[in-house]
Amino acid sequence: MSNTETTLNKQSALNSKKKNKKNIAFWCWMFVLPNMILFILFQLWPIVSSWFYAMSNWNGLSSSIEFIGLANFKELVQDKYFWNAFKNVFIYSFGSVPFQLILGLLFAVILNNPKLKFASVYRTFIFLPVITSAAIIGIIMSFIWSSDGAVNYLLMQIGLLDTPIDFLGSMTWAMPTVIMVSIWMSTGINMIFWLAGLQGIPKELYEAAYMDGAGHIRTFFSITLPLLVPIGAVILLFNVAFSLRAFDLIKTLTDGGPFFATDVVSTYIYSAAFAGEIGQPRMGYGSAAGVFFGFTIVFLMLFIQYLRNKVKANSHV
Amino acid sequence: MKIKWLSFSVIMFALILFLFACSSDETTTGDNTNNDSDLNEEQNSEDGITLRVMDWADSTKYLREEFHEKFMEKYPEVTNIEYTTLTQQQFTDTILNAIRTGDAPDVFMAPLSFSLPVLVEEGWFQPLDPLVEEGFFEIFREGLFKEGLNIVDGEIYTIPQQIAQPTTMVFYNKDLFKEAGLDPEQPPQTYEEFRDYARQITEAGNGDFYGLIEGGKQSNRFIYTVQQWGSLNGAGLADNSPVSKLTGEAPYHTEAITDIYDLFAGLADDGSIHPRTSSLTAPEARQIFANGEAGFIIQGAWNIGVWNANSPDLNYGVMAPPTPTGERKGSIDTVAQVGFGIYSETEHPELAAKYLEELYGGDFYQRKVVENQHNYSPVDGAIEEYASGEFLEFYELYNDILVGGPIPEAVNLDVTTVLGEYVDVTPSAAEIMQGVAISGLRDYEPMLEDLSKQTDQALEDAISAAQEDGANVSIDDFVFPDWDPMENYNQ
Repeated sequence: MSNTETTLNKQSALNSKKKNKKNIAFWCWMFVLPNMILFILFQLWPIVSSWFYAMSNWNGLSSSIEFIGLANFKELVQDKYFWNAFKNVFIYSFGSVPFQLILGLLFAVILNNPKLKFASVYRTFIFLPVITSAAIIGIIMSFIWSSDGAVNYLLMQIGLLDTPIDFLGSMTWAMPTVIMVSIWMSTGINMIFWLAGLQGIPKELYEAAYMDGAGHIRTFFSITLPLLVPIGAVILLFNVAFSLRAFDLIKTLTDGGPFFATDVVSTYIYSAAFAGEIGQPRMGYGSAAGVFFGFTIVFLMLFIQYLRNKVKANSHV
Repeated sequence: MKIKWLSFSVIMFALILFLFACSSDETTTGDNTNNDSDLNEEQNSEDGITLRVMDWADSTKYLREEFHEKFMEKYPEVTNIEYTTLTQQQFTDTILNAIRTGDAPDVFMAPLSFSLPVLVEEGWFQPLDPLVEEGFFEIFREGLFKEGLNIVDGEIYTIPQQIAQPTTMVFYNKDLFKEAGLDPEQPPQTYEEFRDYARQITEAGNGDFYGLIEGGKQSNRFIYTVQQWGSLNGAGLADNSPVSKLTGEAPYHTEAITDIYDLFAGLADDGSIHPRTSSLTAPEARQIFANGEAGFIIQGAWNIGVWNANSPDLNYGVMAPPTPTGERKGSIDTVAQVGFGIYSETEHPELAAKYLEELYGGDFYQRKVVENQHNYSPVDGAIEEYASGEFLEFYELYNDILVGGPIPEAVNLDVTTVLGEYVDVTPSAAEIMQGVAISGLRDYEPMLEDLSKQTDQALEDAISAAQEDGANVSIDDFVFPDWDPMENYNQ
């Protein structure tokens, strides 16, 4: 075979490879396309629209929208009830997420034991609240935690309380109660995430550790935990994002009350955009609160992502 | 590089195609609308027509369902009536969403506190005159329809479900009075007596029953108490103005209002408010009162029928709201609710109008709502003919303390532009009261002062904004110095 022929063959193989690569890229885009169109229409477009509405004086009903620049944002940052909601949502998040993660991990480790009987039954029970609508949970929990509900009854029966506590009506107790319900509701999904992570850890590592004389606690801290850190960062990211967007549970459980004690940014936005006594609803102002808080979440997520990358980099080292 | 451009072009093309497929030019829209309309008619002729109705009249739901059966018998083309009844707050949220998505029910009530001219301007309702039979409006009580409330520019848009009445009268349980050693025929008249009675009932109950129960989850229940009880104290408040109609200033920091907050704080401090109040809606509180778990409940006449039908053993009385000294300095100033209207985009305007004609003019519904003690019918002569018992007693009692105060929109329609610009103040009087009554909030006086200042400022801002929009309006349009709050205002 001459050199020219060899070069031509190589060239042809290269072209065919390139063409193949282009084909793959084309089909990749084609498969992504439907999702992308839906994303643009139902997520990107509303987001961009809300930026526009945030700069308008609009009640959400009228056809005339008055452009008012940054006036809504100016009013927003001066409103102490917005900052109260802002503070509350972080209290809710910091109060619920660590417990959701720790309890989820605890259940996952226990239920990951192949020798445990009826593991799937326990898993189902723990997962059950996840598949129940948050609104339904909110309504049921408002009975359970009421002053003559099951929780007060139990606490009085075992002698921990003399008089019932109005858990959802008390400004002191309302937020801790909402957090407890949220933890109960979300532990199941965290357990599933952790289980997925646990099942990715090679069994040989445990076998080797046991042969070397390590106990359950040692293997947990020296094998399980370090290998779960990368997926843990992702679970943390999900949990923080979900908790900061909390709405349905709080709306049905306390409606942001009593006296703003559980008012979070989502319920604050809802009140502005939908409710009105004598005045009209304020869709523009509600959008401004949404946009402002949206940026906060984005920055927070970027920060968590940065931490995650750092942890990942360290674990590679 | 080429493949990137190719992919990008394909995506953009598909996107543009998709977007164009969603939208259309005017001609196409018109064609589509006709096609849709034809299709609907075709479907309707095959499957029958469904009318959709929505309100918050939960206590009359069973009667309405019976009425719907009769209506469908008379108008067989209507084979289904989707009737939704919600709490007031749920209703307001739901109807706002429905309007935004262009999917509102055919017949629905105007949400409370929304000004009809604003709603008409936003295209919620259509005028009823061209749709109903001639002479239909003559069956109603004289003076029922009012400019700015049911009438806009001379055209009637809505019909009140019932006549004006207070929503914060006090019902009391006579049996619990007796158990507490109180005379059921001598209900309390002053705030001090009211608090004392509630405390004595609570003490007698020893955890089984309490002095007062409220639907504390619904903050709107508290705003009515503040407005109506405050007006009896001379505050000049009503639900159609953010400020006192007597002074043109918000009165939340004045004694007429702070006395009410003091009363509720006292009731809460005594432990006289039922502990479940925080988690209850108004209908739930009504049922718990009927179970004999509270001495007092602040409510309206619509409860009477429900209690008489479902809780015949409940031995209750009704009294006018107490006042600080037992003497009133004003009256409850309220107007009939805006009421039912027909959605401007309904596909069945004629049948929706027939629905209203039968609801008010038929021989079933208005008679039954009065006989069964639910509503004070706006149809002329219905109350006098069919009301009896506690229902009639309630009617006679409230007629002494209720007046028709001035309606700012009726004097100057440009007031609606102000109300369209007005931004509610947070925390509202209702939210503060909710905090006081159920959550231990005691530092309420500075909040009420702040509320007054902010309300005045919000109204001033709204007036300025309306003036900039060309409205000929000023604060004077909200003040009626010639009005004696013990008398009806001569509009």
